[in-house]
Amino acid sequence: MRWRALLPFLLALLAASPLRAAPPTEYQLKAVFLLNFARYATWPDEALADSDAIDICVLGRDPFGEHLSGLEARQAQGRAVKVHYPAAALEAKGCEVVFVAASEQRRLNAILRELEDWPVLTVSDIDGFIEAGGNIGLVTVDDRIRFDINRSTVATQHLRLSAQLLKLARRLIGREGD
Amino acid sequence: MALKPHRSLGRKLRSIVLVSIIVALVVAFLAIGLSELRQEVQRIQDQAAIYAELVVENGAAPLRFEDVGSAERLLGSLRHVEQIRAALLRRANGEVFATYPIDLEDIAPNFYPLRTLRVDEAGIWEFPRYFRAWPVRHDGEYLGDLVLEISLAGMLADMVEWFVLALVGLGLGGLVATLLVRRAEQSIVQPVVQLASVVRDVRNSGRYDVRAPAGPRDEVGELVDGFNSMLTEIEARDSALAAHRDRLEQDVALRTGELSMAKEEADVAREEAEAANRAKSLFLANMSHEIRTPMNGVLGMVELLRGTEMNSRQVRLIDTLHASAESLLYLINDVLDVSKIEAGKLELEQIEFSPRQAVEDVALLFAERAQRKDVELMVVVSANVPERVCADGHRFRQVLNNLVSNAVKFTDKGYIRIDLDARVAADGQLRLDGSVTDTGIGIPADLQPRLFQAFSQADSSMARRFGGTGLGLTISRQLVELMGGRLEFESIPEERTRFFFAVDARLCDPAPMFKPAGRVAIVAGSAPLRDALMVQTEALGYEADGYADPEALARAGAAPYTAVLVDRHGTNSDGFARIAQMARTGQRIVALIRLRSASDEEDARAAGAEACVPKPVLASDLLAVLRGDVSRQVRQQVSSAPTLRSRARVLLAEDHPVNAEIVCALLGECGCRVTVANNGREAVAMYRKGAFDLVLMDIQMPEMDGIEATREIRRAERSGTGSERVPILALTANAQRDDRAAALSAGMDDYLTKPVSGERLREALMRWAPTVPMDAPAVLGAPAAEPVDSAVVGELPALDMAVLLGVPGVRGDRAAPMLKRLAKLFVRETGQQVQALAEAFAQQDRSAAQRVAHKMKSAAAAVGASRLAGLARSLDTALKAGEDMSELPEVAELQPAFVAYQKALVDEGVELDGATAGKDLSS
Repeated sequence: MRWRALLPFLLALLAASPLRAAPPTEYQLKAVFLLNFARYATWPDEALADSDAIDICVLGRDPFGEHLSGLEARQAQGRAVKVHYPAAALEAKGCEVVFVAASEQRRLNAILRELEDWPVLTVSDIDGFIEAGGNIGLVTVDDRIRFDINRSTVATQHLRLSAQLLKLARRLIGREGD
Repeated sequence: MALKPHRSLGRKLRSIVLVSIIVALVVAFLAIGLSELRQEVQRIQDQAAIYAELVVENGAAPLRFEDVGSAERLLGSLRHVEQIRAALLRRANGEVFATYPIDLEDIAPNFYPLRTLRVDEAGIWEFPRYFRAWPVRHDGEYLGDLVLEISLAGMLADMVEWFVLALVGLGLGGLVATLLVRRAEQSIVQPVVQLASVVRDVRNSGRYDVRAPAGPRDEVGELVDGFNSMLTEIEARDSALAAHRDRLEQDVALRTGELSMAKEEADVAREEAEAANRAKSLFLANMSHEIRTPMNGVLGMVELLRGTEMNSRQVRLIDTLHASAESLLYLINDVLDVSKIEAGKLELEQIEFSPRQAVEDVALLFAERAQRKDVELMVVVSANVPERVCADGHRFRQVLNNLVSNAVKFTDKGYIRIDLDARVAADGQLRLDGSVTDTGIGIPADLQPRLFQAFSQADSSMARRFGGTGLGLTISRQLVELMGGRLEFESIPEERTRFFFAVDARLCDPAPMFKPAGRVAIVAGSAPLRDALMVQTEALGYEADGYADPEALARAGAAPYTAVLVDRHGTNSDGFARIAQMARTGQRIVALIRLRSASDEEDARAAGAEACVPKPVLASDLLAVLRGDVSRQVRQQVSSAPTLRSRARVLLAEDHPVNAEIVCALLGECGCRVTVANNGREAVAMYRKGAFDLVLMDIQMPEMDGIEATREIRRAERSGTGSERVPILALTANAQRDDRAAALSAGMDDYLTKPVSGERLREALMRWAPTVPMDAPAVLGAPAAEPVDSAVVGELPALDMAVLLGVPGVRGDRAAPMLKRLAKLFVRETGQQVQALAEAFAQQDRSAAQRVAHKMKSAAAAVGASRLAGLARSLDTALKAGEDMSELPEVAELQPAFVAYQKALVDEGVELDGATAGKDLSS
């Protein structure tokens, strides 16, 4: 009874919520996706020690702004989240997740080659990214952000992605174990 | 109606069983149902939890990657679960992320409470729906909620199905139970029903030969067996009872027969007894009648024999014979009375009589005997007593007679007092109250209860001592009861006895009224006598003062009395001295003297008494002397010894020669001339021939009885052939009223009951033939009672023949043997006394001389030897007065006076035995 009496008030509260008033921007969502990918990914033990934080690195010109750095307050798989902005792909070998910004389209193959032997989950919204050897490519479909996964490169880089994640992917290429 | 017990019992059993079963089933049903419901609810919750877990597991990733389509597909997979009607995925901020069905927001715009339901373990039951929310978490982060709406319809359908099945089971159970109960009823109720039916039959028909069919081997069976054995028992008793009843009826019939036979026998016996009793009574009456006739002869002859010349021994024998015969007669009369009373044949008469006279007559009858025993006899008649009443005077006298006779018999000292009073009882009836009080030996307490029984005296020795039949009291009591009263008594042994009774009477003449006439003093040493005299004088209208002795009277110093009554009795010469003493005070003295005591009277008059009244004092005498009517003083001589000389011619009709001779002799004594007829016919014939002054007629005579003869005579008188009406008196032996009535109606004037005594004959003569008396009654004592002066003694006659002729037994007859006997006796006695007196004087023995003189004085006065009596009195007085014995010349005069008396007797024709007199004189 009591909660029923409170109901109109709660509804009014929800209606007045600023979250509802301001829908998230594209890179705001993409920043959350980066963290979420980290939640469903598994790194080899030698690459990610227990005490290590999950390092999210952005290569190229940062499109996220403050949205990404805001993620540092959150945790993933019980680890702290750290955002890095390495200047070169070489420097990004120690990261767990690397977002390749659109500015690095020309150097894409070089970056991918640089990182292809390292357990680093590569994400980018560059077209043809997974075909180029990237792990997860972000696409926008019908104003909604979806993603494709190259299971071959994920496997070759000794990474594993959760089935839940795989189920949500728009497109899966490559085969596991390839 | 008749089946009701059956139904009732069966229904009860069934109801009990069914109710038990239903209650048990319902309880089980409810218990199972609740448990089922609980399990179902649990199952639903569990199921919901399982689906929710799946959805929640897979719902995190779509929420993270904003993949609504995946989420919707995920929720859509719930369509395979029937119960889940709707599902909703909510973001952490409460926004709806995905729904199932997809168009949920369209079909249920509010889809409350899915959107706002909070995460809760229990969820919300909104029948028939169940809501519950589960949180969606991933990697330590809260992402949103899953809310499910679960329909309970399936569960309800299951429940309904279960319920229907349970109901069916319930019904089946009841049905089976009912069938089972019916079977049980058959085995349990049926025997009871049969038993009840038999009971009904027994009750309605009253037959005890029916039996209930045997029941099962259980309590009912026992009941049936018990009932059957009870019936058997009742039947056995019934038949026993019936047999007994039959026997009883026979017995009753038998007994009734016996009883009626016994009753007949008793009736016969009673009739026989009554007849025997009647015969006995008749026999007694006849016997007494038959005995009385010879007794009559005996008595009459004895009386006649007394008149002949006899020596003293013969006189004594004759006296004894007379007394014995009289006793025998009384005895017979008593026995006759008893038998009459017992036979209920005693009839009371209604005769006019004077109760006072009756009492006084009875008193006089016993006065002498009482006086001899020195017992004071008193008669107190209350002023209330009427002058004349109507009652059976004869029986009244008889009762008094018996009581006074007893009193005299059993009293040796003190007094006897006869009281008579009258009162009007509550019923208006006049009642005479009589009582006789004596100071005799009394009645022992142990005898008192049976005093009135026949033939009982205090003891047999008493009967020997006092004589009597012992019937007196029995007769008296029965007579009193016949007269409407009761005879009762109170007695203190050795002290006093009082018999008292009351009898009914009818008033004829009221009591005389006496005007206040003066004051009387009574001087008597005996208190009872004094009291009696005071009552008597007061009843006569005088005031009375009592004094114990003259001194008391003198001390009182009262005004002169009308008279002073002085009792000399017991005081002897002292009494006379006192009289003399009082006479000197100028009072008018009346002396109370002994009955027939000339010497008493002489002495009293000599002492100065104006008049003398003999005791017992009778009202008539008392009244006469108090009024100064001295002629009445001679009452005792007139009434006790009437001497009648009559020349009446009497016709006696009597067939019995003895009776005839007695009556002739008795009448002859009176000087009557008697003609005897042997039967009625002769009597009538004689009546026609000669003139008679009186006819005495026996009732029962041969040829013509007295009744018929009387009628003849009366007819003759009326027809004028006879002379003037002659009085006819009946002589009847059986004093029956019928006889008397017949006699009176035939024209007779009176009747005499046989045996006829001389006295009663004389009374009848005086009454019915008064016009022919020859001599007036001789008067004794009056001349001799005159005060005598000793100086003139010599002038007194040597013989006063009138006195001698007046002696009782002589009755004026010079030829009476009594006179001769008396004279001879006196001469012999006096001869001895004269001699004894001379001797006493010679020896100067004053007391002996006085004693002899005193004795001689009385005797001489009685036989008319007046001179001798005067001399003896002078001597007596002088000797008593203490005069010198040598100075008394009277002694010398005694012998000449005595000789003169004898000579005078011879001159008067009284033969004396000269030898006797001479011998006495010479010795």
